[in-house]
Amino acid sequence: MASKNRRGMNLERRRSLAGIMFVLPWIIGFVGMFIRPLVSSMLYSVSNTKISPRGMILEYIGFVNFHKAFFSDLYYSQYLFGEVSGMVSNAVIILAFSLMMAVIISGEFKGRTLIRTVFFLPVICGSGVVLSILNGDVMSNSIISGERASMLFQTKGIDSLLLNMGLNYDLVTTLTGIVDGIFNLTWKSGLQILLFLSGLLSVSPSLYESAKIEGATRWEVFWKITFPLVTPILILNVVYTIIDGFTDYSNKVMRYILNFARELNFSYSAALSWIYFIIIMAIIGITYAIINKRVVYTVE
Amino acid sequence: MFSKTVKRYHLGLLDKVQISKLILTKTGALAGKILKYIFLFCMCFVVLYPLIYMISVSLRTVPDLYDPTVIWVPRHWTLDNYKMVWQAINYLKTLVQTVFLTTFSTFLNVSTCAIIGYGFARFRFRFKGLLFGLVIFSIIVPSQSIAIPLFVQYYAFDFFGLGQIGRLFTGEPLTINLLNTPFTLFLPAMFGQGIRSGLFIYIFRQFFRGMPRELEDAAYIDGCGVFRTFIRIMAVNAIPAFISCILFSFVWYWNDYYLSNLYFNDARTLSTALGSLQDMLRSMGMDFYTDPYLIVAQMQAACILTILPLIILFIVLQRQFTQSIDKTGIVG
Repeated sequence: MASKNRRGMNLERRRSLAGIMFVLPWIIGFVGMFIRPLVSSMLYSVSNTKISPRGMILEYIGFVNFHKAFFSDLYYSQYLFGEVSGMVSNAVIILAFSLMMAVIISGEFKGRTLIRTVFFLPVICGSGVVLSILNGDVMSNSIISGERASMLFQTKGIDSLLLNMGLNYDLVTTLTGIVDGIFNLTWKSGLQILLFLSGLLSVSPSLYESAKIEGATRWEVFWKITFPLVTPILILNVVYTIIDGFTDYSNKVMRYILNFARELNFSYSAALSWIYFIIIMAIIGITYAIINKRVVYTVE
Repeated sequence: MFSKTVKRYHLGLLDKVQISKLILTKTGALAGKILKYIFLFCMCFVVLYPLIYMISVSLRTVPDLYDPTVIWVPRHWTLDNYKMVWQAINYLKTLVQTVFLTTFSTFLNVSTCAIIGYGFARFRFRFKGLLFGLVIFSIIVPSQSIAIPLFVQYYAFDFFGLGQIGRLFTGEPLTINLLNTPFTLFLPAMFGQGIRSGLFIYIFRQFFRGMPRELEDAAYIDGCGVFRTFIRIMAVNAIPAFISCILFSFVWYWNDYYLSNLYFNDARTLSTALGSLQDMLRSMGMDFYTDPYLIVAQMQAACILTILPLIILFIVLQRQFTQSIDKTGIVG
């Protein structure tokens, strides 16, 4: 009996050792290539940085930069507030849109391979320089004769029409904002659609069959079967969408921070990015805590 | 669609109330289908619009660029923009370099992330929750914020502190300059710190968690070691996850501008070449670079040239890719 117990302990210990071996490359990389630069950037934020031929020279100055960011920087808190509030609505829209698109293209219909291919295209080219060139060109009312075509994604006449109809101003601007951003929306939800799609396709068909036999409507099936089973993907998508929105090149705060880095003002840019990341972390932590309770894992 | 119903009516299988009900539901289904296709067509247009725009603009001559009546189809077709860009960015050489960098980084990145993700999914060890929280944390911190300290670190790379041992022998830490070598991209990928590695670790962890434990148990009973079980059983069954991750990683390395612009002096990849295209055209001594419209057209041509290999690759792999998504159903 005693020997059996010891063997069990051993096995468990061996398993945990094996687990650590699997994770080890990440631990090395994390300490060497993440924590170390992160600590340096933290040091930059509380010091004066000077570049010399020998490397960076740091002079401790305390929390001057943080104080400056909140109390004497005209733009930072304004950008910060704008991006955070815009982010929340944007994330909800992107998630709802991508779930809807995934549900539509997950069904069986003619030409679905073609349509799936089309929807993956933004994932292929929707990052990096190409997107920023497009952003500068297609979206900002291009100078070339494509102007008429790009009017498609603008609601110049409609908002005044809706306002004359007596609708609330905030409501109208929100609605037209979504329509104006539809290009961004489709190009930013490529990965999310894909992840949802793989989640939807992994739901076992027998569940749907039994629901059909029980006489469930399609609406009920969606909320009682499909939605709970894609919640693991949903939480991944929520985290990804929030991060993607916050670290995007078009994000004003991000640009503001990078501008200081480009002017070689590393210490102020480091301080600004620290404030920014703490806020992002808090938002993600709260969302994760709220959603994680409702996530349904089929295994375990 | 209705012929079957009508036939059944003539055979006397249905009465009038039944047939009107049937026709109503069938018409509803048909209308829904049509609406769905219209919606999908519109969405496809929105998605494809920028691509069509790029192709259309890049094929125009200068007069066409100024002509407001030309909307989609150019009046005078030309490939001059492409030729110019091809020369300016030395396309073939840059393409080969990009393929080399991207392929190796992707391979290292995805294989390491799969191993790490498996470790997080299936084993219990101390501080696992904390470590996984740190993985999430590493996704959240954008690479830009640690890029400058990393740059300094690669300039005098000491093998994660191991080089400091060199002090004992020579009095100086043993360091090498990694800047301008592909290792600036390979090394982080090898240790799970590549482009969005955290996300891949997360995806693999979710995927492995969803796989039935019986598979592994059977392998253990047959006497397979932990690592062999991973390679032979889990990795083989995780091919769908691998295909998606490889595709994403490849695309992100391909499109990466920030890191390769920082670590390499020259425009070594297509994305960095695209970013500095205007300077390159200028250095070629093209005196008409001043024409803003022509620059726009050339930029679009360069965009097409940059993403064309990706699109070709995707179209070639498209079947496997879609199937891999479909196949996740069998596993999960």
